[in-house]
Amino acid sequence: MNTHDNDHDHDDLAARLRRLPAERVPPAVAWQRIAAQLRQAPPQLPPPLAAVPASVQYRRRHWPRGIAAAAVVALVLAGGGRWWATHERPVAVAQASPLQRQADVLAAEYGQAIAAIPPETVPAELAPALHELDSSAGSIRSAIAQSPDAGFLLGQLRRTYALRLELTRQGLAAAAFPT
Amino acid sequence: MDMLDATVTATAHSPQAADDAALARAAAGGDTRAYERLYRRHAPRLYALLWRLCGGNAARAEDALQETFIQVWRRLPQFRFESALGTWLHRVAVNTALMEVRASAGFEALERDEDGMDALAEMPAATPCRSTGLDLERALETLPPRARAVLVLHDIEGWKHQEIAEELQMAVGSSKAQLHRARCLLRARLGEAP
Repeated sequence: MNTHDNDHDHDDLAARLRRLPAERVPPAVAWQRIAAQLRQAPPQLPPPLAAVPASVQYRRRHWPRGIAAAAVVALVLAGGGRWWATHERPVAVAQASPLQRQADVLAAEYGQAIAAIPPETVPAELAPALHELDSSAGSIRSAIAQSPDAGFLLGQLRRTYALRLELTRQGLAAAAFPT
Repeated sequence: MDMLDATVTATAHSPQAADDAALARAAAGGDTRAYERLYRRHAPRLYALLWRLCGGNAARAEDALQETFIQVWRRLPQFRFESALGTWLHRVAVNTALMEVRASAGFEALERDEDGMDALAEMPAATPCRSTGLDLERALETLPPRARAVLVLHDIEGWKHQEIAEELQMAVGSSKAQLHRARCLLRARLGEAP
């Protein structure tokens, strides 16, 4: 246990946290879902290393998709790239995965709904929140491009789009009918 | 940190680690029964961690658990057995859960107040005496995602601030600040003096 910080007042709290149950039994269906996917995705054999010097072989790093996706998410968040509205650009991939195609369909559907609302009618005070949501959606799409099997990201994307649309509509209604 | 290069040599040579290695080698060859044994052995520990990182959201925790074991299954042939399999599973699980936390940071901040110190302090508190484990679990779930992640990784999982900062792509100082904030929020939620 790490105790380098000087927050000694919280030692008791930390001790209680450490005593929390270390295990929680997942629902039985969890393994059934995993097993179903294992049958469709056999372990990936490593690439041939014969032509690579031993010293380089030892240092070679195979980044799991999660790490790669996280890096992309961080880069997009750090850059604050706005992708939606009239400047949306498709994620550059050699071949879209089924998850990406679903994400594209989702983006197109919500894009049409958003496009039906003239941008100039949306209150300016909503702009930061909408920008944040746009950035989040872009980050999730980038993560999907890097992790084409991470199905939960599609639900995340759908919720982000839905919140974006709802916020736009609420803002529009508030502007049309000020109290 | 490269999850395949995770180095926890102290546990890499334990009897369970050796058994894990044997099962992992069989699973790398496509033996799903061996992999199921690994799952049964490690899933409860990982699920407890994921449950907390996901704020008690069962659907998210299950998604992350599933994604963790599928990722590891696919990468098993590349695992070099220089560290314990459990260590690798742990890192993949944390990374998977935090990937979602990072991706959802934008709208979660809108859905639930990231700066909710005041709101949390005003919520009905538990009896201001010694809180039960259940109180603690519930209070943990009310924390903002990033603060909760730092608290869980530091105070429960024993990670160092440097490791947390790398995982969450934040400064070490930010990790320390988030930990302090999380502890204060937790104490406020439990009705204890900060």
